[in-house]
Amino acid sequence: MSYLVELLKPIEGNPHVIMVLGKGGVGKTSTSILISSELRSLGKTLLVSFDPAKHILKYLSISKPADVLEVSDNFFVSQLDIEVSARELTSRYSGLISDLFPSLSVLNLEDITKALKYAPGVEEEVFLNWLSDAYESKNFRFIVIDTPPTGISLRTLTLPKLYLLWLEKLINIRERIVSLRYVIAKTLGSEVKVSDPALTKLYKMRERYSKVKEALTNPSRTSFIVVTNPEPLPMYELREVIKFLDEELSTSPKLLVMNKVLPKDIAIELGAYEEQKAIIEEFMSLPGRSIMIPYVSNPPSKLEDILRLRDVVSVVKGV
Amino acid sequence: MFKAFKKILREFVNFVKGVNQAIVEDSVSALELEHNELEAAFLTIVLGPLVGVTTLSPVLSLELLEALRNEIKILESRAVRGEDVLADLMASLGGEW
Repeated sequence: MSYLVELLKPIEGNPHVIMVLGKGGVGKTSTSILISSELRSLGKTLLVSFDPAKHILKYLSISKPADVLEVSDNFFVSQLDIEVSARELTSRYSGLISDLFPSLSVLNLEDITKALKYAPGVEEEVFLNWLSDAYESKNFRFIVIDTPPTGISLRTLTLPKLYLLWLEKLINIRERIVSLRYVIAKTLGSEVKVSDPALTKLYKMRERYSKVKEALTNPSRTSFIVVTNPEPLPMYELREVIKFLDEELSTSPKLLVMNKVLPKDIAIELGAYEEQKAIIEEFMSLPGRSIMIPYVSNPPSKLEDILRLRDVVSVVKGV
Repeated sequence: MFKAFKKILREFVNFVKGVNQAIVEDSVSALELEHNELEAAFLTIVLGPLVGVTTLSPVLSLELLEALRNEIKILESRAVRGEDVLADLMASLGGEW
């Protein structure tokens, strides 16, 4: 088993989800491909990219986005467009609103439904929906996620906790409504209907979000990898992500990746040596497993380039 | 004598039944009031995000809409009746007017 896979242990759970987080441009897609290509030796691996720039298509020489594409043995790839998925979701909701509130069209207010696509939380909901389905998937042993921009990713990861809080309150009110309905009907001797579609829906939603929350906070079901560069802003974002994981999910990253580390002579030439040294020292002092990938003169542009990175990776802190 | 006693007893039983019925009706009215208030609160919370009042995530509201189809129909019909407040009040009191 490769040392990269060793660094991710425990990797139980079927599927085991690996989320690669980090600031835009730090190398999340390259890291995701590298990790996926290692994991495929253990079982069917799906790499899903939410990267809005769709770099993965270029790396894997795919002409257009597809649902799921087999790249090589046990290695499958899917490029998702979060905006397209958000549009699909909102058009479904728009149809529902037009159906439930026909008076909107009488009053020429159908435009309200068009504004739905700007409703807060839709992109996060698309990601969460997808994540929830991913944990239920039986087709893959590993699912590696090249995450959308950090803001969307982190907000999505807090949603199950937040939704559960709201759902508990709504369930309390709804249970009281249903019990009152039952008592009134029973007292008046009329027919008693115990089932309530809204309460059933609320229970289903609670079950769904509880499962996602449980899976996200369970290190044997979910691994977080945070990628950074030896620059102040990516490093700042790495600290923020670690803090977020600790405070919101009571977990920590399985692996930290310091990517694009300049060789000493080039860093001196560019006047970036002292800054890079200080950042790497801080990186090395962080708890947990970590690796370092040097800057390569020709940035990876295809799968083979990324796979070659395996030979230059150095383990800073191992198992 | 026996007839008179039987009559008084029947009256007493009817009186007790009447009191019991009044208590039941009062209790049901109180329960109905609580039920209606809670239903209104529930719909306000769920529909709030769709009209700009952030009571919970709009996505949760949208997910719940389908299950609230009947309540929304009632809400819409009440909104239409709301234009004639007096008629609505008379209707809510029941009986023939």
